[in-house]
Amino acid sequence: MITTGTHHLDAHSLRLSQITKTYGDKTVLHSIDLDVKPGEFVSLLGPSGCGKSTALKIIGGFEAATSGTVQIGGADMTRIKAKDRGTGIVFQQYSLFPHLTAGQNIEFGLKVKRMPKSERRSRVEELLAMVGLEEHGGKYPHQLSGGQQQRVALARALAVEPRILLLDEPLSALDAKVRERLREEIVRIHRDRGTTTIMVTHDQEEALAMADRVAVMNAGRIAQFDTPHAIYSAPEPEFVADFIGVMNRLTPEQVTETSVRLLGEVLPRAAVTLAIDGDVLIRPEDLEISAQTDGGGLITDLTLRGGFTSVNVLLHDLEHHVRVDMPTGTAAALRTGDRVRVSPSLRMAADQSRVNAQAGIRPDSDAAEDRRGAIA
Amino acid sequence: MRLRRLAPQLVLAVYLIGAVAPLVAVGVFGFVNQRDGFTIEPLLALLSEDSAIQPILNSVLLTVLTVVVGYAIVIPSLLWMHLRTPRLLGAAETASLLPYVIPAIALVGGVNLVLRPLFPGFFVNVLSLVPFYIIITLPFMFRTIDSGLRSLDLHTLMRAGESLGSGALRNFFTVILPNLWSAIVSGSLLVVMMASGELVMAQLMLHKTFPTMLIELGQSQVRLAAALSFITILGSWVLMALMVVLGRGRNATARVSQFSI
Repeated sequence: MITTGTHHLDAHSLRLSQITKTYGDKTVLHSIDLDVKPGEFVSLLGPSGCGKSTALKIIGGFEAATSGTVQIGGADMTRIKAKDRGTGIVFQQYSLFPHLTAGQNIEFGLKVKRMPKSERRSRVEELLAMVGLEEHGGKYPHQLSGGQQQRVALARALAVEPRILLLDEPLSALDAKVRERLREEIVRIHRDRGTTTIMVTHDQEEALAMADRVAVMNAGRIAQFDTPHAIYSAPEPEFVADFIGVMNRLTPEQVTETSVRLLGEVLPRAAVTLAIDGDVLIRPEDLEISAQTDGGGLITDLTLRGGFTSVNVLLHDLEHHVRVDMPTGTAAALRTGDRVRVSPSLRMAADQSRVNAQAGIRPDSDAAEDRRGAIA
Repeated sequence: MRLRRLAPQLVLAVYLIGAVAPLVAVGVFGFVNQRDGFTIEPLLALLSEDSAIQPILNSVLLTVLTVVVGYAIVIPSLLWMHLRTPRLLGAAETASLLPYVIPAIALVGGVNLVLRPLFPGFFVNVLSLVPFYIIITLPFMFRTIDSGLRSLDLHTLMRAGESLGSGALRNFFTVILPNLWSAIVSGSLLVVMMASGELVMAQLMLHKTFPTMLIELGQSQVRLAAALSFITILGSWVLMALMVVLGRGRNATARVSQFSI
């Protein structure tokens, strides 16, 4: 078993301070701060052009930041060349050396390190086993499937025992089934080896499922950096709330210091996410429907999504649509045109206050302002 | 119906008569004479003379240098352009095609008028032909290497190498160059053919190479010239076959760059 130097945990931390990157007069990164703990799996998530890939390139040393510093294990790496940074990287695709076999690809970094041949061989065997490709060590990249190539790329990057593993949309080029399997595998390998990992992705499901913490980026800034659970249930209201999952926007009837009245129900103030304009942001699964002939809502659409069904309801003001997600079994009784009453689920209030208590954050907009950027 | 079935054979027959018969005739003419029947005596006699060996060695040296120096210039500069200034590639490609439109005779005429008076010593040396041969073979070297590089994801490969601790120079020799091998081989086949068969420039610059020797012999000893031509043609076929086999590498660029002129 390879040990990743657990006694030197601090050497595996990463800190970006005020990283700014400009191309000509276009600023791609606006003074980014990011603090990654040793062994942590952090995902940089955002729409294309948000600067996440540039941030990764700057961490890896493939591009220089215009200003700001990159620290790995407490040491300033801003001016250090990529080859001396101790970062391993897996690209989206086609990064294996085409003239070398899978085994030789994994061996490449070890050869550069001048590791003795016998040691090299056993290391390659071990890494091939780690990614489940024992029998394919002698095959060339073009003889391997996309998923297998990415496994080899992962093994190759981990062979040199990098202090930070960088994953640049490693699953984007794969088809759905393979993607899911490799996703689990990456998480398993990360759990086993504990290598500090930064993954860039535009796929929110991927980021939420894999990472310990997610940095949601927008327009060159980190909008929110938090655990997947907190990102989902207490999103930063300006950008993240719209970007992650589906959010209903509803105008509350009344907002006080301690409570919010929404759709006729009084909810604790701390349990709801309020947008800047005062709207309440609420997830489709946090709403409930009850059939009621005199209810103010009208079902306009039912969409089966597998385990759950989305119900579109036109509210009594005849202006606002809300989406309510409910178990498909329960939704079977509903028909388009039914009159219903929509209300926040009681579960929601309880759940949300618990989450917030755990994360130690208040989901009101002031706190969200504070959260933007880094959380040490 | 019958005609349709016979057509391929007919084409083959015409080809054999048209292309192979003259070759066989050259061979027979070159190696057979009235007195001795089939003989390679005159050929051996020629090859034992210094005056024949020197031009052949000159040609071999010129060819090897053209390939080596040419690629030593073309590969790094193209790689640089692909990585750093991809916008220049279009202009470079146009420039690489210029030798096609400038006749050899114009090139030599210009050099004789302008450069020879400046560096008279240099143009006496047979190696002064190397720059010219590189210029005339540039289109082939450029295109094969260019398509070889295009078939690789250069940025990703370079970065992958770097992240594994390999510097730029090591990346060039252990990552990029091996992947260009088949492109180099298929390109150098054409370069070798052109450089070893080039006549006009060598003749006009008054150097003795294999082709100029062939022309000279053709004026006095016709049979010998025919025999040498025959051997040259067979030799180049063997060379071609060899390079095709060599170039049929296992790497990804093989299929793309082979003969993609």
